Amino acid sequence: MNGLVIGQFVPGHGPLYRLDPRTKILVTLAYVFLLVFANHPWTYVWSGIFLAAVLYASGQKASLYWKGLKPVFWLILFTVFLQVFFTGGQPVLWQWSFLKVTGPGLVNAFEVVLRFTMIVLMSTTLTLTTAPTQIAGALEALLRPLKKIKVPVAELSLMLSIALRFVPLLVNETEKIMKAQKSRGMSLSSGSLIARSKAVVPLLVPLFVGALQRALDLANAMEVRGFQSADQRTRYRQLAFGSLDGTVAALTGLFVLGFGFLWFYQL
Amino acid sequence: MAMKNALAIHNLNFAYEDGPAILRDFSLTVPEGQWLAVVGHNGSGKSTLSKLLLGLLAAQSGEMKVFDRVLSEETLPFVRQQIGLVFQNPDNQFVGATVADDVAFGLENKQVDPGAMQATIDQVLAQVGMTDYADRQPDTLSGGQKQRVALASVLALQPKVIILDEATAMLDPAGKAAVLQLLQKLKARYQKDLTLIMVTHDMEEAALADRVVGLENGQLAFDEQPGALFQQGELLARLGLARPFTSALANALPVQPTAQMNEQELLAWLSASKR
Repeated sequence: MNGLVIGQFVPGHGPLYRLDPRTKILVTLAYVFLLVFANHPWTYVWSGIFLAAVLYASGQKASLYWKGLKPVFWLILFTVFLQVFFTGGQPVLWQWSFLKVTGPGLVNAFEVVLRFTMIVLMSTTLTLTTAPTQIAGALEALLRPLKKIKVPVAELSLMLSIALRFVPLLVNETEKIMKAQKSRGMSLSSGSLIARSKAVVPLLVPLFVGALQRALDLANAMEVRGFQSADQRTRYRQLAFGSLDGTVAALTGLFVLGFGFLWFYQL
Repeated sequence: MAMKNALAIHNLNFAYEDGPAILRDFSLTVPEGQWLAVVGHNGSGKSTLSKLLLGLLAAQSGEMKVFDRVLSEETLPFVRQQIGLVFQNPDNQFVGATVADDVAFGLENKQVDPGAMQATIDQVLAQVGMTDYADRQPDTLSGGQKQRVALASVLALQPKVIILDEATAMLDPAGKAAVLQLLQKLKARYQKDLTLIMVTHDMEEAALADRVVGLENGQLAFDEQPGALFQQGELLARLGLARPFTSALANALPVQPTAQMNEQELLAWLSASKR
């Protein structure tokens, strides 16, 4: 695997791995939501402390997070560019035609970088320490109330976990087809843009045909093993909150209160 | 006690939409506890047969009885409880994210109590020798291991009949040998409580069965014991089936053994022979 993909699960042994996936999702959502309201230095410091504790509890190396941040680097740079050159206000430090650099612009840019980095690190921690199927299971449990308004939560969750299960298989198949086509003289890296996009077609067609065949086979396999509806099934993986979840909930509560205090009094 | 029939197929007709007839007035009876091999070349209808039996396809006419109950929409859940099916492609029947989850899938469908699942999962994984792989993801397993998991998933549902639809066709020799060995072990353990049906075009595999039936043009071309069948080189050649290696070897010898032998038996016979 070259580099870390956003959303990739990496097996490990930190305390976060033992946490209920529902807890992790809720804490992450609360954190991202609160960060939007961060408005002055101490709220950032406070959020930073919480994030540092979370990163430490994941038990993963810092270098792994660095790899996770790299792909979003350009996105961050782009927003910094927008913030620096297009924010109005006083004092104007530098101006050229419609582009100007102002004091508030620089402050904004700095805050955006901070916020962005913190949000990415927090959500990376979630996916890094939680297997995709666990996330699917937790989402189903959290969205269960929506069943009342006829949202097919169980079906959606099953679809999600099966889709996730087939991702490595399809990636593998794509590589195989690419090699097969290359050995027949196809090139994806030379020629005009149009020629190159045309070369994708002989790649996509067998991939789609293969995926459809797999889907049909899988449907048969599921049916003969007694699958009737996603709703009428029991679950092998039972979610259960433990004492660790209680501790994390308490700590998160403390964080939210502290944040609220700092935010309200603008210390 | 009279021998019960696990399966009784009577005058079955099937054709795919706008296609030629795949099965024509096909009849077959399989007694409980038999190990049957269904052979035939590609397109002879042998895989279609297993799909018909499990109600994945609907026949145009004819009747199928599973333990004396006629297959219909109402009896389908009963039939699927009696018959387990292992498909050809190891990847396309792996539903769960891990080995344990895959075995659990069928139990979840049966609405087994979650607390009772682990014991069943442990037991069937031990049976197929995959205990150490319980938490592995499918892409880290070999084809043979995946097929053993597929068998475990079927065993977890305690079927009386297991159909293997070309289940070893995509495996390497080692994986195939492991699966076949496992089948022999299971048959020895469950004896009459397990009816095994192997759909295959591999004669080495068919040689393991008690009885071999051959399909040609949607009808039964032969119904024999493997030993008797392998003596008929011309019949096999006509059906596009390769003779098992040992049978071909025995046939080529100047002095031929009188009975059908497996590799060890042939070896012993050859070393014991004076010439």
